[in-house]
Amino acid sequence: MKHREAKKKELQKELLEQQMIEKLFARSEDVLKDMETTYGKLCSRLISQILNQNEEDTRECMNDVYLGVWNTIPPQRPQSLQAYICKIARNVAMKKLEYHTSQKRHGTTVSLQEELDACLPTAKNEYDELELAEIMNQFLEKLDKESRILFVRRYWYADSVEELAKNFGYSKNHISVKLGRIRRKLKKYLEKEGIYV
Amino acid sequence: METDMDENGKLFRAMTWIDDKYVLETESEKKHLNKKKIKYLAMAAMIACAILIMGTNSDVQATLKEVFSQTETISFTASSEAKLRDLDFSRLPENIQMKKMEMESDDFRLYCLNNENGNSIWLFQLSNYTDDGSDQELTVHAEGTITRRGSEYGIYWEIEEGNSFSIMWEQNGETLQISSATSIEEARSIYMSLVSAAE
Repeated sequence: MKHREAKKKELQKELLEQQMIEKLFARSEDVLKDMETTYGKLCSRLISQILNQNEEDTRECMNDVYLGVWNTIPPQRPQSLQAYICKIARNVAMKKLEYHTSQKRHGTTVSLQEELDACLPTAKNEYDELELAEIMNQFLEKLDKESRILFVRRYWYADSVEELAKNFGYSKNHISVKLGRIRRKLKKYLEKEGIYV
Repeated sequence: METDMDENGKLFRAMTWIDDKYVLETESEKKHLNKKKIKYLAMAAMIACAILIMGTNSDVQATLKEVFSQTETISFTASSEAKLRDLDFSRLPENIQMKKMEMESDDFRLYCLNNENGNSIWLFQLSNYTDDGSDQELTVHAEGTITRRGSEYGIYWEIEEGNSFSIMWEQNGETLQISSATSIEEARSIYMSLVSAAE
């Protein structure tokens, strides 16, 4: 019964996404409201996490997100609008963060970056973001599901350790230990893949 | 996307472009993790080690005896004729899947199941036969938490990841010990050498 309900919701979601994509192709501005209703909360939370709860920057970034979607669909026709819009949101937030970092306005996300940088065998390497993302895909595929979700929530959605502890039902210490183990695995994996240079 | 990047935060930025399925999986699972965690607390280990003792074998009568809260000693009368039977996994819950079963010998089998989080649950199934039909004793000791589970699939022990544990038993006059420092491969190798020696 629950499975059927979940399937039904999934289908409704897919249908809604298709409608929004069609509206984007038809250049119907209604879609902006639809996106705000459907993905506004999700994206603004993601941006806010990366930008350390800066509300003004988050609002500004959200406008860039909708503009990014509007400008790229068409010609793009993403399979998942949710993933597409989330990626744009993360990218916009990262650019804003880079600006802040260059202005010496550091925050907790910088420490997240440093945690992952420590997994790279050398600070300087010739791989670009897309190549590294593909290697990360392979690494994520090898992880068990819980570890993968934990890792992605921490390093994609930038969830705090406190939030992770609450959502996973573990202690903060347990979460930190688990994340440390995953990072060590990642480091080994990157070394094995020859990410040196 | 910029490719001429500042090296700082490179991997974190690259994460943006991971496959959609991981972004979506994580978002859709987020709300359910807590419930699953409670249900599968002991199963959530990457290598959850479990011992399954002849729970479905009617030839063997196992008597369970708890010694300490965190130590389990199981004594049972052995039958020299006892052989392992395939466990019946036909009625497993939907979210638990049989991944593989290795039939190493008549007295040892290794099962691997996947729970709904994709974690592996290993089950050792041990025959309790001895050459002379004498009693055998198996002691499971853990500094952490041992959860004894009884189900229609048998009786087994789950040990949480990260806990220190050791399992000792006698097999044909030789002592076998598997501890938290032993990998699955090593455990298998140790056991196989004992089985081979006994043959």
